[in-house]
Amino acid sequence: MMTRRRFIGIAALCGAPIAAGSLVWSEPVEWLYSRTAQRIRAFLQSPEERLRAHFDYLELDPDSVRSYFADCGRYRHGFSRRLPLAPDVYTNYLLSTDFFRHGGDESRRVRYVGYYDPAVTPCNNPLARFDS
Amino acid sequence: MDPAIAASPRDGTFDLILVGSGFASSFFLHRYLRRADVSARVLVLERGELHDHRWQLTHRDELGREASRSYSGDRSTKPWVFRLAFGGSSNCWWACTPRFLPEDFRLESTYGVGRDWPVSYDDLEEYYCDAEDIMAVSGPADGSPYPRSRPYPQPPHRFSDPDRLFKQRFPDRFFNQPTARPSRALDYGRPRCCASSVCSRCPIDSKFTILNSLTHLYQSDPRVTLLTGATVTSLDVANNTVTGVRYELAGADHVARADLVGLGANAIFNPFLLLRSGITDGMVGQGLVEQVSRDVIVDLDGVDNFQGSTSITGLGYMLYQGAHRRDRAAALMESWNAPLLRDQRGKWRQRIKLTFIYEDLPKPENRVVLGADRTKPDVQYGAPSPYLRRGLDALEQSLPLVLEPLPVERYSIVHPTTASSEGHNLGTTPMGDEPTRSVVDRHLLHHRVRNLLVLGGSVFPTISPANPTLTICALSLWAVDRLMGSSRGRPS
Repeated sequence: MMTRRRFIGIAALCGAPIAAGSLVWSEPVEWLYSRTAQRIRAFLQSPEERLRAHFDYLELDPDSVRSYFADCGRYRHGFSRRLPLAPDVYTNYLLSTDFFRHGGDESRRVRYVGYYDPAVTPCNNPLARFDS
Repeated sequence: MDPAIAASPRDGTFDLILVGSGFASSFFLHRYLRRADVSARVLVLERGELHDHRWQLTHRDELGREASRSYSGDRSTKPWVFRLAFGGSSNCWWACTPRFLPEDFRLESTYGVGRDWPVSYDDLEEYYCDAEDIMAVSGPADGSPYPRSRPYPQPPHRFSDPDRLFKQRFPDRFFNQPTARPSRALDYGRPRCCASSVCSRCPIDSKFTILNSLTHLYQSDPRVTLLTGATVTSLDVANNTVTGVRYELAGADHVARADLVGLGANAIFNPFLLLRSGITDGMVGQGLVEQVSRDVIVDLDGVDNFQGSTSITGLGYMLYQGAHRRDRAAALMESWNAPLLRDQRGKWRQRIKLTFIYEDLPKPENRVVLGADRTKPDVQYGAPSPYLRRGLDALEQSLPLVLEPLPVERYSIVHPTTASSEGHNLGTTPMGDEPTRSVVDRHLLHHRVRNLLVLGGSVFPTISPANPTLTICALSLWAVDRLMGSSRGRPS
């Protein structure tokens, strides 16, 4: 039978690690946790899957996503299919597609145009305008 | 017996020897050749090699690494960025060409800090115009923060939408950035800038460089002999006159002679060569200085960015002029159009990077001294001045005023985790009227050695938040006219 004293004891036993955890929980710990989660995810999911999950509200052309990561391997320093994606990969992917050429229309299928790196493909900025 | 005289003209003596082929030397040469006699003989000694644009694209950071190895010093305190190659740092600059403001030339008399220059803005105004013409600078058509006698040679680049908001709120303090990234194609092969935003290595060779615009001075004018790979080691000086320039070329020592010698290396190598030559008068080597910048990333609410037509589209003078300059460093704000997207659904373009570039005051203990190697200066740099530090510290409290025109969702100041450089090496051979407090006079001639010119950013007695290149070029043009008598009726 659960007595009041027993309930308090169990609550204290369960609560202590949580309280201790919250005391030591800090930005570095959060960073470590997030980094570990990303590493596990990178081990379990391909970059294509991770990209598609990130942009789950867009219809990404599958061949285009494969082509994009093939070019990442070619042009992106330090890229590895088994490492977490660099934070700017997602925005770089959008710049590499026809997404902005179609005004950022989320209803259109997004197709890869070419790896966005001005050193690789100059004059490929989809946002710049040259009218006065 | 003297070492062999390489590249000797018929009579064994040149009229002019220039050391270096960057902005300072090339603009001097440009004006000099226009003024000099057809029989003039000029030798240019360039330490680096002539690498064409394609080579530079494929070899990426090689020139940067080579420059980094060319001096000794603690790079973790501060790196110094430049290029040792034909065309010097024009090979890596971002082509930002604001002028200094008139008050930048009289900091001491206006604000009680730093020193006044021995030349004024008015002295240089026509030379600023000439330098802008040579570079085909694109600049604002609706006024500017400084007086101008001529319009910019090229129309301005397109503003981004945040720029337009800045302009509406600060009509007299926000302008299109003047830049040698052309807004129109040039008939000698430079295409219009297409906003690739990797300007240090422009992939289409659009920005002005010595290589794409002034190589003809070196290769087509029969009066000029260019020696690349020629490392100047010292000057011979006798009776307050430079009698020879010593240099290494292909493993051998040489000496060349001239009536006039111009050092147009940079703020690290100019003082180094003076010191190696026993020319230690004044403040040689002291006061190495450059600007320090802070980026502010602003997330916007409902306003898209990146519609401009070049990498940096606007300049803000909101933290530049004013009484605060008595106490703390002024800042020039750059408005960036490079597509630094925000990773947030529907708000990808609602972000802007603003860079605040702060001036600093030279400190004597930040200096260039001789090293163990006869070709390698030793750079001793501790820290910037408290004046600069106070400017940086005031940024956060100034931001609400500066950002007032924008619908700001949030912003963050990016504090660099490693030592950085603006690529502007300044000070070390300052110009001035008093020989004890300076190295060269207002005409850039050494106070004592009167056939020796020192050119470039090393002659700046104080710096400004503005990029220094256009002022370097204007000073070189000015120096030729002072030396040879002004073509415009001014006394020499």
